[in-house]
Amino acid sequence: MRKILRLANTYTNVYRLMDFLVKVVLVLLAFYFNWFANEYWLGKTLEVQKKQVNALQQTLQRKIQLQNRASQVDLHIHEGDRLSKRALHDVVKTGLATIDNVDIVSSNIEKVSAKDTGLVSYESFPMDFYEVNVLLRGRFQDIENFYYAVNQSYPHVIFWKDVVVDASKYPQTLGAISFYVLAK
Amino acid sequence: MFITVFPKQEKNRSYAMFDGHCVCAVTCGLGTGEVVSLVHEEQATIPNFAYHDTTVLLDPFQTHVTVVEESLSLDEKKLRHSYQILTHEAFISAWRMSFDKGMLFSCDQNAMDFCMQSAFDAGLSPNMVLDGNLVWSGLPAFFEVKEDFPIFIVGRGKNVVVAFFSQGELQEVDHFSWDEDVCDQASFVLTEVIPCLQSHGVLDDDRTVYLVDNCEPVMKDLIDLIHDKLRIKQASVLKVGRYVDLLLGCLSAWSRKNIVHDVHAYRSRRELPLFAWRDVGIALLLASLLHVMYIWYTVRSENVYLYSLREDLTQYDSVKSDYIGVLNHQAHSMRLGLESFFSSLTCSLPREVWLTGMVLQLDKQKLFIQGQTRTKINLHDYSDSLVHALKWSSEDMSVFFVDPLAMMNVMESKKQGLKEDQAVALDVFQMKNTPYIPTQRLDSLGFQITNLKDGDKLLF
Repeated sequence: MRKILRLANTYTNVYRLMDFLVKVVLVLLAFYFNWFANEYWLGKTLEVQKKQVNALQQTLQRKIQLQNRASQVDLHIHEGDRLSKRALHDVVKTGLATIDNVDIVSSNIEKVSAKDTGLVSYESFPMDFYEVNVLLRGRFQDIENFYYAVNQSYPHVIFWKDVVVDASKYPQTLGAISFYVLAK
Repeated sequence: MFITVFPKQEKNRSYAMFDGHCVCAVTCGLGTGEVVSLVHEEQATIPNFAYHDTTVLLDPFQTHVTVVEESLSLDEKKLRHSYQILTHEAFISAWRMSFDKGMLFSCDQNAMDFCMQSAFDAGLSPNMVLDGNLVWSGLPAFFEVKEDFPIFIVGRGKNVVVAFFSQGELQEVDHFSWDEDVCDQASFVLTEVIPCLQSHGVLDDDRTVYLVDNCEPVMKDLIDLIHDKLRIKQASVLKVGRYVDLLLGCLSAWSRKNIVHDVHAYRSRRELPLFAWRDVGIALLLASLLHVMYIWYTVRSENVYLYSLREDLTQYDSVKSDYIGVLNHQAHSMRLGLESFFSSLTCSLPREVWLTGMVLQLDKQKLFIQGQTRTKINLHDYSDSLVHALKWSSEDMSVFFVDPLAMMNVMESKKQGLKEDQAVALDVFQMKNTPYIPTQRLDSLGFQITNLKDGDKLLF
């Protein structure tokens, strides 16, 4: 220590140097104390506030989404948009009854989760869709008639998935129609 | 020995001179000029000493004096260049008395080393080293002489200093040394001191010569010669106990006068700034206050934000929900139906064309139509009418003419897709395009209309 002081003494006033160092240490201690206070006092208060803010923001976000959804009237699903399996069978039956000289190759109804189809952006409870696939052999007009009959029975309730027509072996034409209906 | 400068000492400055192993020190307030303490000590620690602001004065009898009757620069390099006697001196100092008069003081390396070593041994860390002849400025004040042009003679060992004053201000200092091998003391006084006094008109102008009797043998002889034997009527004797008392008194009087403005010392060291405890305290207080304000502001801002969020929430309280779910836009388009598409498909079909296959996937928004035509005709209008009916973008639609023998069996893929759990992919771009050659006989030409991009596949 004495050596250091002697060395410092040749360049500057060691008393001033020591005084400066003492004051710097004091200032650093004060800063540390402030940091400590910041960390443990303000930190805890802010943490509580932040939790409240997050909760309120989430609630607000939900309410905004709710309002946005409420404003999209065209996209709403109401209880009346859902069909029972029996009603669905009647629909298919009605569709097939409207056309003559048609062979039904196959027809099946499957239940799929609304979430898996990706057609629903919000559901107040887990909902399902019936996926209907009908394979017909006949003319193109028969397939068209089947579509019209089904669509007219429950307008705006049926979600048309795909239509496939194969007339490569004309006059024999094969048609496949798939659609979804919300399950009751 | 020390940790920090105490608040009471912050504005003090100490001047120290060394007389052998004794230190004469004066501490005075910087702003007030009030002398805090006078010390003549042999101890290592000096009470009330301002260790942080120390100026050491060289022994005035160890320096060489040169009176200069011309304008004096206060720049060290210029001085050393102008006066050859200063070139190799360890310390030089310049006083500017007036515009055309000044004095140069210098001392050799030995005297300088002795002074610095004495300072370090006494635990001092000087900020500045000044020439000791400055203290003679305090002679009139110390002896309370109020004349305009007094002259003081002070002796020490074999050296004599003659200090000339004008209007109370020091005008000139002359140094004389007696060499006993050269002459006796009487001759020294008669040949050196008396002519000097005469040259300043002492005997003619009735200027009083004060002989300071500080119990030094040389002064006793001087007083004996000048005052008693030569009977110079202007000579007057001032008594002082010891040389150090004189030194201390002059130092005190000089420091009180604070007349260092025209003196330049060439021995200054780096000076660290001294932050007063009061300022440090205020700064810490302000920093803490700012921090508290910052905390208050942050907490308040968060509270204001919380309040505004609660206010916002009240606006949405009245939202009612009588629906059980919401569809996405794609599902909505799937619900709109295919009436217009079927109409376009059959009514807009060109005459020379017959369709052999079609895949319309509303959930994936993909359309693929294949068929045959007699000649190469424009099918873009037809494809546009189809996508227009579906309300899709017509930009992605493409028409390709392909080999009619290699048409896709779309129904087979659909059937396979219904049977299997995994999706079946059909690559519609595997057919090769057939270039149309007008001269060559051709029964029919295959075509594809699709919005699939190159590399896309139809998934069932």
